[in-house]
Amino acid sequence: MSQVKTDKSKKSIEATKLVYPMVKEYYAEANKVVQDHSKKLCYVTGAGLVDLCWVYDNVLPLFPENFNAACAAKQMTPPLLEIAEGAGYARELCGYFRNHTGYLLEGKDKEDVTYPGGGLPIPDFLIADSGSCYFHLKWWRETERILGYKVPCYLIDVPYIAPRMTLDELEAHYLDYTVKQIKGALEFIGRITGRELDKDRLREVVRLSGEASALFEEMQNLRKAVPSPMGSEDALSCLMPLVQWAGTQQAVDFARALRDEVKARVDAGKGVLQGKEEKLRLLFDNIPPWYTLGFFNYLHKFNAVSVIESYTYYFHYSRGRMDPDKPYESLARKYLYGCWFMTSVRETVHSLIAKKAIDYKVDGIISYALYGCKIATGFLPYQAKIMQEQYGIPTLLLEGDMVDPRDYADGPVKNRVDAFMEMLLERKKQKS
Amino acid sequence: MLEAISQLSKSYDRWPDQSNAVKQWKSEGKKVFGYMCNHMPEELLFAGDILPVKFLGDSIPIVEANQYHTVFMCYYARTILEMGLQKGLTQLDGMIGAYSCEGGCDIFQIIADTANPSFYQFITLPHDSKGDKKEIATKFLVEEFKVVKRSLEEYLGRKITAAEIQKAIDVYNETRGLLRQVYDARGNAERPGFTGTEVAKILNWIVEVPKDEANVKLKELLAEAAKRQLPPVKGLRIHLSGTLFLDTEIFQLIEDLGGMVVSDDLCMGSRYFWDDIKMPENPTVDNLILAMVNQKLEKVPCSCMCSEKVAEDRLEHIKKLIDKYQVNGVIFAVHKWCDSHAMDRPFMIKTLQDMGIPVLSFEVERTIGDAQARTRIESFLEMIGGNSSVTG
Repeated sequence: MSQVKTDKSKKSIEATKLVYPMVKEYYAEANKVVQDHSKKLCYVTGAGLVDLCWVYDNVLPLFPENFNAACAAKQMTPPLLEIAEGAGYARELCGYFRNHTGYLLEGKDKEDVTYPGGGLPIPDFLIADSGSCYFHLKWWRETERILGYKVPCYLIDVPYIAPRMTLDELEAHYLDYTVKQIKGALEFIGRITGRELDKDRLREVVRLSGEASALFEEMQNLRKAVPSPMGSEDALSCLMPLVQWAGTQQAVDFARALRDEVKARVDAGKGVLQGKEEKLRLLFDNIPPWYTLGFFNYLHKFNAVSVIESYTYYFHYSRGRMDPDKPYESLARKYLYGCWFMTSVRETVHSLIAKKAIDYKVDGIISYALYGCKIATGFLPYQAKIMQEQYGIPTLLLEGDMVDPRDYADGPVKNRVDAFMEMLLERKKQKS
Repeated sequence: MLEAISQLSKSYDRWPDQSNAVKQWKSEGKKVFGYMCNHMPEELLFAGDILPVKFLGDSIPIVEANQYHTVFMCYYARTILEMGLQKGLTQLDGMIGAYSCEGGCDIFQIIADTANPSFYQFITLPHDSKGDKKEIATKFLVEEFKVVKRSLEEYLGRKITAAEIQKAIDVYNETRGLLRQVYDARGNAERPGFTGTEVAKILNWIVEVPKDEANVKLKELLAEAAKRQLPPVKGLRIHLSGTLFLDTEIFQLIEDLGGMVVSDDLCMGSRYFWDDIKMPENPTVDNLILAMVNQKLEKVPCSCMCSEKVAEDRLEHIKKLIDKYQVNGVIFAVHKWCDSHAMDRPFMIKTLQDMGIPVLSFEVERTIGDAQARTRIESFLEMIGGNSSVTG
């Protein structure tokens, strides 16, 4: 098939350049483990249970989502998506799920294809949580079935925080339900790895997870500076260490290096546009199209920078609550935060999107509506309406998928971006 | 069609504000609540003298709702949002959501936000509730139901007693039993008591009216059905799988083509009523709530559930119905954008095919006509002699 026109991003942060070698090395280790069986491999869901895996030194967690994003960045997803669709999975299902399923069903056996990192190994066990979306649980169950029920699976069903409560005032049974499942997951991993739970190690993992989150959040706060020290083209790529290694020193080291670099830029007044006037500041909302991260560099043409994202805010939970002395509760609150972030849309539009838009002094929002991601997408038109009517901030609503480039039309997308930028520039001129 | 079934449509309406049952109930000074998902505990509301009405949706064009929600969601839910925006839900005093599917969770928040009823509550459903998870899932849902009960009591300004809940469960269990008799009458191969379309109309009606009154009517309908002389179905006996439909067109279409829907696992079908609540020996409030929770977690699962082998459990139910009602073929008619059904479907289709059961699968948006179902169903009925399957 012919290649869909997309743009690769250009990075300007040095720390970003550390990410790909880290990921490559990680996949190399995973493929080595397949050979020497020195560790147990597991599939985990994004931003969720990875902390639990790092409690055990003989577990190597793998992220199908990251693999899917990497396949997308390399424009390798269409054949895998078509395998899944050929097997009967609807095209409107999550692109991550379809790509991963296509890989498992047939893609992994194609010897003439070189996948990112040498490919995603088959795991020894599966764990997932519904913090980012409930669909993950269905996805992991389907993976369990595709793998012939030979790979054990444990799910943490993180409850949706009903509108009667807030993240700060949770009913006891919400916390209790999540904590019990965390304990269940740790027991499950212990059974598979043959290891007793080391509670000191658990506390250390919680401490490190919280520290990396806090550093990342500090970095995020630095991005409020004008001019913007780091755009989305870098920030989105810097998520991987936080996602993959939450609970390890590696994540802390990376987050610190990133924070230091961004701080140095802010102190020096150095912006993404390298001396050019920063005319427009934007908030990018939702999972990005990984196959065309150059989209963010394209904005620079209008002296515009995507200065903050809703998506990156999902992955760092610090809020001063990762308490090593309360490891289970800290982890539960982290996972509940993820669920709140994704599903409590009536609240997040004000306390998250609007707050960020104001704090980061943005002129406009670009929301990317993903047809495969119902929970992160359905609300977007209402959100756009609220942002316009109550906060006076306009939204450009684009539609597509995060890893499926087949419905992406570069020309029309840029056409709409051009019009949006011109409108924002004109609006700003009139305001001043 | 039985005249009595034709008359049922006079007592309710797809638009709650137009429903005579709603008007009648409210004229007595009582409250009416709307809900979307079967995981909502209707009995608790009924015990508090609140009429629970399920949102049926309607095959209307979407005019305003697209300004509030993307099109990436089942048409059914989007029409409820549309109704609210068109001021068609103003007679509802309250709404109770249940987080079954995430699309439903998302859109229900907007429906509640825009319709703004005086009471709004939400239940989080545990999605993984078998095996080791059974105990904690049960405990969690018990607490959720207790929260609903407490908030209803605050709203009503009075307690809901054990005796009231017990009575409500009795009434609802009686409805369930009568509906199973309706299904048996329809599924009778020698002398069907009802047609597929008639049963679909009964199901639409039953979720909109007070169950105690409905039970009286159901008994009358069953008595009439017993006296009928409907001929056996000449064509194919179809099992219909999916969620719900915005009209009864698909049932009528299959009959027009010589077949009949004799069985289903729709959420506006057998999954709504198949499993009774087991009445506890000691019917305290706690025990009654536990019984209601057990029924929700042990009933024929919705595709939204994520317990191990849920699709297999769903298939078990379908297979039992296939045997019980002598089904010749299965039609999956699922709403486009319904992720959980779309996930289970490939496995379920393949398993049924491997059993030698012909299967047709297509996606529905607004109406069956939009899905070009006639052509597909016609082809399916023609091909079924050759035991083929058609997916699309």
